[in-house]
Amino acid sequence: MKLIFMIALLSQSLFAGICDNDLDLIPVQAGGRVKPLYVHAKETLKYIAVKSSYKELGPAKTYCYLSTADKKAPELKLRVDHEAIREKLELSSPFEMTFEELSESTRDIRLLMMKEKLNTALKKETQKLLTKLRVYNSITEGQDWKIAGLLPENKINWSPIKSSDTFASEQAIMGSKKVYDQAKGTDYHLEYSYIKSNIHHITLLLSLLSIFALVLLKNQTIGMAGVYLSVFLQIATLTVRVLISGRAPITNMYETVMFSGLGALILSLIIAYFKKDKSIVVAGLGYNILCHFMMNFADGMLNPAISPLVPVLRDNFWLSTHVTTIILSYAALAISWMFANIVMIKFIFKKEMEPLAQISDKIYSSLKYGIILLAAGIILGGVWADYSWGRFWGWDPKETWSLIVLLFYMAILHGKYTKWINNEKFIPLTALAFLSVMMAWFGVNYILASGLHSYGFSEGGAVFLGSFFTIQFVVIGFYAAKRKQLWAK
Amino acid sequence: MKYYEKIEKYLGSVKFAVLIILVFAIYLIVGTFIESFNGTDYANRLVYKSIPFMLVQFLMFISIMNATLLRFPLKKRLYGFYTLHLGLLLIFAGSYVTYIAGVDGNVTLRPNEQSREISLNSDVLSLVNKNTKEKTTIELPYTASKKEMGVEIGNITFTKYLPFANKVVKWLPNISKPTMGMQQIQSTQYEIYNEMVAQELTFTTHPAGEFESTLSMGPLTVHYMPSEIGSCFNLASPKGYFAWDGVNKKCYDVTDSNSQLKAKFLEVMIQGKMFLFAPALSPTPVDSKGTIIKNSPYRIFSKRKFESSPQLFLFGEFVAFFDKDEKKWFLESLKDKEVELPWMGFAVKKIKHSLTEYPNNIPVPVKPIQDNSQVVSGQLKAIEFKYQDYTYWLTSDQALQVLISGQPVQMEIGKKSLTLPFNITLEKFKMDKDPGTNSPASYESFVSVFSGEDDNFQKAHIFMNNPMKKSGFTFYQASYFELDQGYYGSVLSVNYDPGRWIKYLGSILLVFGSIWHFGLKRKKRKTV
Repeated sequence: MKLIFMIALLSQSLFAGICDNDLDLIPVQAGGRVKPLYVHAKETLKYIAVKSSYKELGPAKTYCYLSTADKKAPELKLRVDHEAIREKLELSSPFEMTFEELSESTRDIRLLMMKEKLNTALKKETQKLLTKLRVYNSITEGQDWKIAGLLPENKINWSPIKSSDTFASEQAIMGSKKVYDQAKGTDYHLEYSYIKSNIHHITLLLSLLSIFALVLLKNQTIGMAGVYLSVFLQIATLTVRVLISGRAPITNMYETVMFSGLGALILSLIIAYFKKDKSIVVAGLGYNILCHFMMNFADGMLNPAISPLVPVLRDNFWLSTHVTTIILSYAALAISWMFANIVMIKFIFKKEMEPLAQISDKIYSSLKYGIILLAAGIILGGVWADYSWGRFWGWDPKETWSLIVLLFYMAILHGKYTKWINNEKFIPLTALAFLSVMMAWFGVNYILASGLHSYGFSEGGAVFLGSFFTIQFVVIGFYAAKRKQLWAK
Repeated sequence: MKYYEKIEKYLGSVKFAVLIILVFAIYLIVGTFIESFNGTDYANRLVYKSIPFMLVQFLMFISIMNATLLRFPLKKRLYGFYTLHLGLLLIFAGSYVTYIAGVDGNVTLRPNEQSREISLNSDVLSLVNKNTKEKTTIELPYTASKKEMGVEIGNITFTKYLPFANKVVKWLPNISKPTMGMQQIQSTQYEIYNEMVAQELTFTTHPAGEFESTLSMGPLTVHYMPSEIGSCFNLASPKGYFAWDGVNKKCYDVTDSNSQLKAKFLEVMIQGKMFLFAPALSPTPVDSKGTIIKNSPYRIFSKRKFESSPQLFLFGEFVAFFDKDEKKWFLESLKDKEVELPWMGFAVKKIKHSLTEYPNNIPVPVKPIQDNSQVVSGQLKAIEFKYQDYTYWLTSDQALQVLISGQPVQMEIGKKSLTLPFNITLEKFKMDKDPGTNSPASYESFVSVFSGEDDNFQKAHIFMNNPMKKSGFTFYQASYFELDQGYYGSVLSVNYDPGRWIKYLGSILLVFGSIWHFGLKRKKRKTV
């Protein structure tokens, strides 16, 4: 009796120690992939809870404490974003609650959900809260953390750390890394280094420093060196992502933003080389910085996690040709947009300017690349669709909007041959036309695809697009007003 | 002559090009929003495949063609321009060929069954003579809204076609008057609700009303019965049974004085006569051998049986239910009030009750609604027809059988079909999932093709991005459906596209033409 008690005590104390190990690199199976525990814990906790509630411990330890029902587990909190849910649950600022409180309010949340007939923003929010609770419960019940065990023929079996009320031993958990590494190798470690390195913050900083150097310093060597270093690091980052996921780095919004930012910077360097004029690099760099801001700070809208693809996209040849061409075309059009805006803002604040013809010539040259790439990309898309679905064109909203983009730019180019569009109008019109790119790129996914009947316009994507459109119209408005003023004189 | 030249020049001018490009673009924007609001089919019918939109595309074609012709004879610096605009013209021409001569449909494969029918996208009304198996199909108009038909076949006239409709309850006068001995026709509409959900329920005893008399709402079962039975639930029923006399519309309590339990049988005295029941098996009386007397107007109801699960009995303006907590039956009137039920805060109220009218589901034309990438309203297609002085509806969810010139004919709204020159059989369907998840990673069909002419089977493996080609047709993995646990059927999309190579040639010309065009300009400027 005494012995059993001793063993129980011993195993308890042994068990309590499990989360004090270095857990970061333990392989786990999650979302159809194998990842280091650190990455899975970080992604999952970020999805379910506000960061401040687990910041001190770090993601892996927090996740471990939660999974093993340890007393040291922090009390996670989540934020409720929707007004109606806040009111129903009587939450006050900062509108945070614990999962225990959430669990007690499920009836109220279900009630709100069932009242909504269509798929409204409120309905989506309630479903999201319930999903978060489900994920949280799965973690605390020890079902979310799946560890590797060896099967014959070097196959791996994944099982949750808790089954029929008993936890896996510390040995099994800590040993699972060795088991997996010996059977399948250590390729998954790369993702850990990638996430830990904070490389996207570094390249953002580098691009920012370069733009200041280019704009403020007379000697452009330092700025250009920074640009080349940033390009090099960004290419390296992209390569690492390709190595982790095993496919072209353009399969979700996050990756397209990342790829277009890099693409625009490289394209601007190419145009600058041919035109022997470095001012276009500032536009490319400016856009690169904007993309970095979105990647680093708009994580509600862009999800940085690497996840498996839907079956139709699993064709590396078409994925890397069609999507890359389209995103590169958006990048080229983004340079023209950025350049047009820089010129307009400069003009709003001071009068003297380069000759208009020279400016429109630069905008035109990046636009040219954009249009050829876009036309080629649309056609490649048609060929891919023909090859995998049997139709070249189907008026699907994404393809239709990419055609609308092409048509708008075509209208501007043709208009330029007539007297309708002179250099003065060409600049704001190229800025305006880029709104169609934003619609094709983000609007189709964030507004059209989620169903217009139920759109609350409170979701991340719509807010972003709305603000983008508004700011653009304001800039063009000021530019037009200033032009009129000059004419009057 | 000069007038004609002026028009030709205008249609080839850059200004006209800008105008028509903008009209085309705005048309497309509207189209994508309609698609999001009302679904793909509606957008295709209203915008993308409509005559005005075709006209805009034709004007684009004319504009490009005239612009090119006006720049003849050939000039060397315009070679890129010619190539690029010729490419565009070829893409338009190829698309037109596809539209006119192409085939686009799908074939549904069940495991180990031969198929050779492709179902196409256009809707048809099919009439099949049940005796001769002769089939007639009438193609339905490709329209987004209600359209008059005016098609006459024998003694039937098809008057209207609704491509998008919802069934709406409409009250019609009872045609046949209730006669002696026949049951009084009653129809009622109720609402059952709690704070979460509300549902309207419609019932009728009219033979033409397409409404069930028993239905379930989650764990709750709702029964609709003639109002006379209502009073039976007020009886004390010490033994848990009451008897119903359908001839005199009366009910009797089963008590010790009028009944006797004999083994598993219950002997009950009704109207001075003895009847034998097996209440555990059937409410209908049985003869001495234990066989059910089917046409008997007498019934026995076991109230006990209804006490174990939530059962709601509606009798026109009355409602009966058993309250488990109070262990008691309630019979309440719905005449001017709602009645609270003892389950999950539910209550029931009467919306309409009538003895002279009965409810009927009538299709009404609607704009379809798409929500969360699914069409949630207006999925029904309906045709109105006149038959023997009455107006009826044929809907896409149900086939109808009528007599045309004395022959039984089955009418149905379906898809146009095309017969392949060979058979396809699905031998195996395989679906892989992403490890540890339920999301499909790939779906693959293993099929065999048999044309009948020679004895050899051709085997093929069709999956995403790997189609099968056979006699000009191309088969693509499109979707799948589950038959039983773990057994899947497969849907392939089938395509025949004679315009394909014209479009491809045009595409190549377009891309090379634009590179040529834009590239040359740069050089030219340099030399200036």
